[in-house]
Amino acid sequence: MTKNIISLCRIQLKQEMKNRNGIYGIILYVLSSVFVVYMAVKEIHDSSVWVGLFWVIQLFSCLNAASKSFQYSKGRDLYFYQLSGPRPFILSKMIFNLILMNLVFLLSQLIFSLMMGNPFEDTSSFIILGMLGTSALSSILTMMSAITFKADNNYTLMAILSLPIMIPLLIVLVQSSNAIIDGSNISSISQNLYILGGLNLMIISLAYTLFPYLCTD
Amino acid sequence: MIKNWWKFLGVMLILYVIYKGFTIDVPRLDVLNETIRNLFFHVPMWFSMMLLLFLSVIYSVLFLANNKLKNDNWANALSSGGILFGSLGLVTGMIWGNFTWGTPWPNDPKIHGAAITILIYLAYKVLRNSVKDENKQARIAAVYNMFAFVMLVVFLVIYPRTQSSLHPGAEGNPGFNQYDLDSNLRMVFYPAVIGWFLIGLWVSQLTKRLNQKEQELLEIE
Repeated sequence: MTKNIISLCRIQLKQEMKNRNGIYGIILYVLSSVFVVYMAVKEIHDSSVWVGLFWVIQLFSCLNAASKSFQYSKGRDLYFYQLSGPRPFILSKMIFNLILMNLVFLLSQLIFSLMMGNPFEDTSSFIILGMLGTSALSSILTMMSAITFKADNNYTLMAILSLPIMIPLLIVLVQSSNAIIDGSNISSISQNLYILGGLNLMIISLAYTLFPYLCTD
Repeated sequence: MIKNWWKFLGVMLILYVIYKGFTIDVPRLDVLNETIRNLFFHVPMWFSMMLLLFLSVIYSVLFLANNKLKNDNWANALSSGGILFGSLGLVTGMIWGNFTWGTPWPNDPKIHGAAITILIYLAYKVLRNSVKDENKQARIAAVYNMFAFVMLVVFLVIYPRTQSSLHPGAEGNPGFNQYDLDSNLRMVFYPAVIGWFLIGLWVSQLTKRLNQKEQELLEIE
């Protein structure tokens, strides 16, 4: 199974590389939304506004990136899905999205800090927190994208389904980011990190058990 | 007649709760005063909502296990009941909050949780409506229902515990916790919870039958 997952991931990477529009689209989305916020706000004096804006942009970038994750599933992907079975298929999608969205996170963190200033003294703690949070976001979004793909694959439905589910995550992330700005280090927000990690495991195991039911046609 | 004993029980309990709820002596607590009577009408809404949604998830799991559309109809109807009771809970809470806190919608984790629960289940309804094929609709909806419920439990059970809340009973607030919910109040509160839950079940059953009839009408046309 591990072998299957790895080769599926490699195939996805190749597909993305061959058709680079997707990746450039995501990068451009991040760039332009950060720029829109920059034009609207210019300078941020209150660090909690920084955190709020950052996570909202991150949320929508991830939503946008994930909504494309099953776009090839009508053609060649269907063949690979039949070969490997549903479970390795969804796990490979999740791993691929996890890597992609963490890259998106790092990119938007970089651009956002460049344009709006960096309120963190302890940037590395924030990056650890953000990567954990983004991983949880990506697994939720992958599952929601699968559900939307089965329904009729439109972007509105994807947003309606996933936004309310992601709010709990967003609250934990915003709170811990603010705590880091206020000077707590990584060990004092460890409770929140455990919540994020636990949530992540739970979502992955739910997706693992439920995805086969979604796909029986 | 005998089969429907629980409906009679529900109606009786609610009549008892309405009568007793407005007439018994209540303890005078700071801030709350007479509004403590909302305990019989606001709090049971949340209990009923959670129970109805929980039953809805159970039916979704049953559907995935044995593929009978009947189970999916139940899951759908119970989630409608859950949405109804959630909205009623929000409304009663807003009326109460207007008198107690001075604002119907303060910044409070429990209110956020309630609003998000309703959003999630409305999304569930939208998802159902966007798929035409009955079996496919049932399957997709069941998967989303399970997913939503798990996130909901995390949000409604774990998250408010890590926050300070304005709600009575929470830390630093005057109100009813286990020690000053006196036996008088309990005599009305427990029947209220059971009564509203039974009414919720009845509403869901009616919704399910209505849905079925509508479906049959559509098939005739």
